[in-house]
Amino acid sequence: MKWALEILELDGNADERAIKRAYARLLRSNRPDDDAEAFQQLHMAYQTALQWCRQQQQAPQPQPAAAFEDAVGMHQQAAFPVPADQASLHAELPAPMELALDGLPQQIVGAAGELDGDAFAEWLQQRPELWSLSAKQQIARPLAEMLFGDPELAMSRECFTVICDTFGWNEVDGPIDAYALLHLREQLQARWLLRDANELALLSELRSIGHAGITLAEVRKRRQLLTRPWQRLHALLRALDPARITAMKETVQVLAPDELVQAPLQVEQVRFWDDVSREDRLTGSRLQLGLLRGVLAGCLWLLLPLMVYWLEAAKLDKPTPDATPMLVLGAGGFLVILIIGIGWLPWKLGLHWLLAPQRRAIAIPVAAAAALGLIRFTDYDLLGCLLGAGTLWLSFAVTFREQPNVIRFAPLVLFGVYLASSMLPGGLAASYGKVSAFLAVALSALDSWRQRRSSH
Amino acid sequence: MIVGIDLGTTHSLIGMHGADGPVLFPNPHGLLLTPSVVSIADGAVLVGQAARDRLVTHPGESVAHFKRWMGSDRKTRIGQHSFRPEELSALVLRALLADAEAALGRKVTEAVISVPAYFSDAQRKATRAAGELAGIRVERLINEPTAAALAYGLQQADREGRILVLDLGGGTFDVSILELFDGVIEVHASAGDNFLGGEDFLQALIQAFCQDLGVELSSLPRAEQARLQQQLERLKRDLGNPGDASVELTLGNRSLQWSINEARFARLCEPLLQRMRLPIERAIRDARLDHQSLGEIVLVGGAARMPMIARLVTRMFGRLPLRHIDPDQAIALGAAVAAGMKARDSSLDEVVLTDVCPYTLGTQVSRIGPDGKERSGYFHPIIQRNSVVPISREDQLYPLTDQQEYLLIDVYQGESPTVDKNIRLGELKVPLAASGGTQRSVTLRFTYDVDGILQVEVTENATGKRYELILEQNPGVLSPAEIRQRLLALDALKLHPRDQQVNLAVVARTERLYAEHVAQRPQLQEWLLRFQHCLESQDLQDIERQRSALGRALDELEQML
Repeated sequence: MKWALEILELDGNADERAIKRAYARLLRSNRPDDDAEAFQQLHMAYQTALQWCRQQQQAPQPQPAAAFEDAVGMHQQAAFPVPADQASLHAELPAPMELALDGLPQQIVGAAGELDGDAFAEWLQQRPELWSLSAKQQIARPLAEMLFGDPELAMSRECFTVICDTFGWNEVDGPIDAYALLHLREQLQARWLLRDANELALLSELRSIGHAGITLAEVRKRRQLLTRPWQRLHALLRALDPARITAMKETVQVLAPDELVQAPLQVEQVRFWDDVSREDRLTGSRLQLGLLRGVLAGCLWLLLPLMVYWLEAAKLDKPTPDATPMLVLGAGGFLVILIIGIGWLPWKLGLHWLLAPQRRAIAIPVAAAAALGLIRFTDYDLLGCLLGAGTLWLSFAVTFREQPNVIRFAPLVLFGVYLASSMLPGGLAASYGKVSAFLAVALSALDSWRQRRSSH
Repeated sequence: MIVGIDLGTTHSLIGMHGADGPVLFPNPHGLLLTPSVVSIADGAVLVGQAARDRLVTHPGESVAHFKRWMGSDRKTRIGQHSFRPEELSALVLRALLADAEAALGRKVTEAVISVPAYFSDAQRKATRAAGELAGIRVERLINEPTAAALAYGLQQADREGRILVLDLGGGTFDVSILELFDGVIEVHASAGDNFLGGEDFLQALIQAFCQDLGVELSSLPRAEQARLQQQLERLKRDLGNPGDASVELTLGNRSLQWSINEARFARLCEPLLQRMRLPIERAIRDARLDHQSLGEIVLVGGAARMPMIARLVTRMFGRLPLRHIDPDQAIALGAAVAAGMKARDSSLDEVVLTDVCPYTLGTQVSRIGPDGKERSGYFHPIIQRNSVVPISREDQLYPLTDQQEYLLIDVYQGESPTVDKNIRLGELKVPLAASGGTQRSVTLRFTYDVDGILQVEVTENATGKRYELILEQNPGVLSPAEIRQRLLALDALKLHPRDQQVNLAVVARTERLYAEHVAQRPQLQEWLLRFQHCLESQDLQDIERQRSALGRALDELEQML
């Protein structure tokens, strides 16, 4: 503060008038087009001093007589003559209007909820209240509070943008944070789409992000799936169809943006479909779905021994067959299928985790070393061979993941390795495992080299 | 000797600051307003009233409203020549300078030219290029509402307070909020719309006309379109007076009559008025003012004469606007004052003008969005709009990743928080030092000067290397070499001598009336032949006598119709 007064050559009890006078005097020797730097400094000092001075005398300004007649009247009596054409203008002035602003924010959001973008813009244009700057100023805050505060409000994106444009909210340095506005816009739009009357808007929104063949009946079904009371088994049965999961994922994106669930959506439903559709995360719902799939597939498997047993039993001339092998086969197969059903997902995710760019340069050599170790130091050559071949396959897949046409040759490569290792001395399994492991390490080295090059 | 020029969309004026304040120079017809129209007649260039009349009779050889294309590389063909908007403006400037030189009796070499406050960098550069193409040095570009306020502020030198200037010209709309005290004229905020002006109100009228009478505008020949435009322009002026205004004209073989009243015209223009509100509100917000603390509201610009503009102000502010100064001349007078200040006129020693940068200038950055993902496309302001100029601001920018080898710095102008809706001015690629950790950043400095020209400078912090961005690689901006080349081309064009222009204007006017009024054709044809015969005799006295007689006759005829 002191530096500003020093530049302006003033003491601590200068009032606004004195600051302005000092600024005007100094400005003549520091014109903006002569010395830009000196001017900038002077101007900054002036702004600082003015701000300080205004804070000092925070005494509220007397409200200027708001009455319309006063303002006009005062002007007419000003010390200068009014040209003749203005006298005629005065005659055409609309009668001073008492503007009722009380219910206006409610009316605005009401109209925004009912009308489409263009119609709403027109409706807003015709509100006489919004032409008046002072009325607009008074409305802006309550309107914003209402939009942010009322969880029942709904309107389309277009209408919300019209409101923002009208009140100047969506500008750099606007009064409301741009992210908050964006968030609110999506929220309002989601609520608006949830209304029965806006089914068609929902349809076109879903068509724009999904495929174009979605029908209105399908839209209703999706909506109903998200709004009906929560029943886990029912939801799980629905989710058995993978196409349904993708469809619901799109719908959740539209109706519950930013993971925000609003009535009439059911929280459990939305969360369930969200969880199920996440490929990159191990969730309870996905495990349950895996379990259900495993049980169903296992039941199908159980039919096989049952059929065999029944056919055996149908042969009347034979004694009643022994049920034990059938029972073992059925129960064992059932268990294996169940384990695959449940374990498939964690296995896939684990593999995914291992093969992430920052880990695979270590994971693949380690797996290859394990395969070599199994072959070299233990008797489980076959296991080592399988591990080596698996590592080679994975390493091939990650190295050429962006060239799908190369990946097609992976089986050929494995077959080539088989041919090559059959010619090598030593056991077939052992040499197959060794060759695969070495090849996998070589591919992994190629992959890390390519990674390093592309990051530059 | 510096002159002030108002280079408008529909009209242009020229003036200078003399011993008794600003004065404007008349054109050969004795008028201060020269229509910004260029026409080519008999291989030589014609500017002003005569060119405007030739819009009706020779639409293929005449062109108007080229200020709207400034800053673009749009080419216009007239006759055998093809011109850029800068060149057309340069032709108008040459005509204006000839008027000033005739009045002053010596050569003019420097000028201050007014531009809409909301003109962009490219548009400002194009205006400068137009000055150079006209053979003068442009000492300064002054914002139009600032010029108007300067003219107004000087008239009211002893007054203090905040004023709002609304400038609705032929093609642009500008708003400025100023404060006057102790000889200081301080602009607090400017806003505007570069594509909103009297012409748009005329278009609304033309559309209504065509709709009412079932006329397909695009199917009319160009000459008839131009005639329709000029007739409705006259109707628009008549609408300023109380009562109905009507127009009669013949298009093709149809004779049409149409009348409209002011109330309907105002309804037609409601969307345009709506567009005027936004810049006004923005300027008030930016000046951080309560609108009630505004002292006066001043209307300037020819189109501000329309009563609905005054009503708009009344609706918004609950009070009447002022029109002390001639709305057509205010900007030119202000430009003349600015020229006087630039020339250090001693009578203007006490006046200081400070202006603002009307738009936000910044760069593109990546940021973590509300969904937690990193996205590019966010606008990061460096110079906020309505900062006092000259101004210099800097900011630090950091690379996104440690491996990044260079920073790409885009420069944008605009008010949207995302860059896709803002105007891109240019880009600069800055290599980063390979190592340095936290030192891997650059300092971006924007400098905006009083003429509205932006300079961008980037310093790499680790090594201290500096890079400068020159915003020239824009298709709408001519390079200095191109300017020199085009200057020669323009010099080769023949201009009609000033003393012949008056005669040509009368001929053009007679021809226009001939095209417009079928019933009077025999009469007009006879007058025209007689005058042309007189011109061939080269008897100066006789020509002058006949010219003024013909002028009076035409006046009478037009009044009668």
